[in-house]
Amino acid sequence: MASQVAQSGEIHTVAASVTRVRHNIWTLDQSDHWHPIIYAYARGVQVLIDRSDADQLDPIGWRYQSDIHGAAVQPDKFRNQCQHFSWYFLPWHRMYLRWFERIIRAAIADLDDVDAQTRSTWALPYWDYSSGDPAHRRLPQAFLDTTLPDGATANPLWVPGRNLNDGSSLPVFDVDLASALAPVDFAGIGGFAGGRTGFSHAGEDPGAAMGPLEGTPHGAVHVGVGGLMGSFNTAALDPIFWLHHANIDRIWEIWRTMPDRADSTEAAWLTGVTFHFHDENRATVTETVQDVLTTDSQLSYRYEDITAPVAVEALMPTAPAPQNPPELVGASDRAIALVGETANIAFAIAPPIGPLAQQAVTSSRAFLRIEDVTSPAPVGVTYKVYLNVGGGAPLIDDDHFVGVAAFFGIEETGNPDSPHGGMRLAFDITGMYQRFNADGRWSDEVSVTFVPQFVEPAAHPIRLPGVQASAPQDAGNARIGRVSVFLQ
Amino acid sequence: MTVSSVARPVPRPSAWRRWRWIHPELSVLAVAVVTWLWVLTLHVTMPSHGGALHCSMLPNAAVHHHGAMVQGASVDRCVALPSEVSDFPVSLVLWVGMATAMMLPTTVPAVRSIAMNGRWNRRHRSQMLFAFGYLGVWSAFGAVALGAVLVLGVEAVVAPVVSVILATAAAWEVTRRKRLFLRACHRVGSLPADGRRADRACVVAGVRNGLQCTGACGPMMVAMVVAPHALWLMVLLFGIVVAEKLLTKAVDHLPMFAAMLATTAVIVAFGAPLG
Repeated sequence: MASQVAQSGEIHTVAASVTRVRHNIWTLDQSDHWHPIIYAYARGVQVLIDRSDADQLDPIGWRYQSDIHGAAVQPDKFRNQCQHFSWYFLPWHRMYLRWFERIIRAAIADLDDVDAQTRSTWALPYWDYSSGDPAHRRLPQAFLDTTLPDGATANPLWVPGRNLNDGSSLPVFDVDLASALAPVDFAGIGGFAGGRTGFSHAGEDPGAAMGPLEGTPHGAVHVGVGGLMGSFNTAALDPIFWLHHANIDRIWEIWRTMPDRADSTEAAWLTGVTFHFHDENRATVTETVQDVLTTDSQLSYRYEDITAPVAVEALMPTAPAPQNPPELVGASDRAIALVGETANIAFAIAPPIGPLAQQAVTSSRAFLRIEDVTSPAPVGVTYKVYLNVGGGAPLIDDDHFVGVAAFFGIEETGNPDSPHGGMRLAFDITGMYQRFNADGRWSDEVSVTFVPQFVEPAAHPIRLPGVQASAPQDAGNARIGRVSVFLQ
Repeated sequence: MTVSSVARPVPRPSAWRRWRWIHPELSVLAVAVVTWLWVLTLHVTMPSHGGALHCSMLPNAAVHHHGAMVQGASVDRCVALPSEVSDFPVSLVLWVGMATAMMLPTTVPAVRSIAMNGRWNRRHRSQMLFAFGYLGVWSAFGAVALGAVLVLGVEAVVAPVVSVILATAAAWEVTRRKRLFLRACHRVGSLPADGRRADRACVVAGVRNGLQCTGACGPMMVAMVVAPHALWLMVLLFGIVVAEKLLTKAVDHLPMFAAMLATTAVIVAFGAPLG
């Protein structure tokens, strides 16, 4: 592994290192919730916070590292660079984590209270909330303690304002991996990584939406944790952010190991856009996607476990992508507001009249799209989405469940300096469409129902005094411009 | 149930057919190409004259050309740069042609998105309605700018005026307002699927996009109002507006575009031909 590093116009090479293991934090927590790797992370975070206190513009300080993800303005090519709603979402965050991990590792190298073995093997843990164990949907205990093990020093892993600080759990649907791992295609509408964007708007997927992984669990966990994690510009100020994204990066690795799945080989994705970071020595670094495709050989890390959930493998569709583009068959003709209560919208759909009709073939794919979602402020709850056909009272059960709509980053839609317009979500409803068709239930009218999900309260809540207490979950106010059904 | 058990194998459609399925914006591009050919033809066949003074445009315009004898006729003025009220309609038609050639290609991402996200039988209709609204704004922009040229009578000082306009456009490139306009004209929302509401929404979307686009690129396009026959300038500005509209990270490169415009302003000031 080697990377080109440019500093003062000079190019040199960062030396390769041994492959490190990113551990599941629950594995570490099981032995000691202040396992040396977790403790070292807390101490490293504090070093970065101290750097920012001394100099807000220190590129290896905590504030600057957060600003790389999101900042109120776009001051340079390093900050406010997070890639969302795009097929660069996964590789950009991989690069981001990789350099952050090196910065933390360098920071703990000088700490006397971190043992030599931990210093030499330290890698960022990941937060696996999807294991099926309800306890794993809580924040790890090290992120709930307000002090370090000495009982006196403030714990930098604890930050105020989270929905989960009182021991609450993420809703189970918010961490489900079925939708995230189901796509076979890497990019495009319904693709694993999201729509093609970047370099040229003319070459983008029309109506490009985020990939299902970016929606759930990624966005849903951001929203569920809440507080700093709930907004683009503050998310990376919460130390759990980095463990959450390590898990998202791991899920990308899981997907890659599943049958018939592979990363894109399109040049536009591999080399079309160059990203800029700083390494642990404050030297500037440039990378393209092709530099970060294999974790072990290129980046010198691997994950403790990348086993695909068996249930997900059973859901795999096998049809190749059709030649024809998705065709709109129906859409709502009015906006709908989501204010933390159940909401419903119905609209008519018609048979396809494009390539599907011209070739007299059955649709092999179907998508439900939620388009032009806007809000000036974060939306603090997720919504379960259900689709019903044929009129009548909407049913809210597993048979009609489409997925979870999470609107992480939606506040950026109200920012005129943001490149993002209204948020767009796409759900693959092929299985439901075929099931309803086979049962003779598919109809010329559909209704889509949104049911809010709040975090699951703890049986024995952690009660903290004053400003440390968990804030009530704010549902916010989102406006959906259009809900539509596409067949392909 | 797996997907493959439902979808039956079908013959692979021809490449051309698939191309048309996934590129409905070809119709808009075709209009832009035809308009470019028209504009280029006018430039090639136009009678030229020294300095900034020249005239391309319509065949019958040649007889009104700055007092020069062209094809046996006396040319006393250039209708592309109106000096009399009677020139105005023709000048406006010529401006609309130029604006169509230069600006319509930059709407490709927008019209493609509108076509692909609308009903199949509306793909071309929606694009044309959007283009109608969009070019309507640019036409109004041209009418105002040509009116100003008419009133101010800049024909004798074209080069200094163009130079100042380009310098102003260069300064505009690095303002926050420009950045906001450019970001806004990259966005197109979802539109109603069917009926008159869809028609109306397409036109409104075109008008909105046109307003944002004139906010972003209007200052530099004023130079083309004053120097409509400077083909090299037209090509240069076309390249800049296309880059700004089609490159995803164009906002990051606005200082570079500003430098290009500033350099061009200097070149024009030192006597680059504008005709």
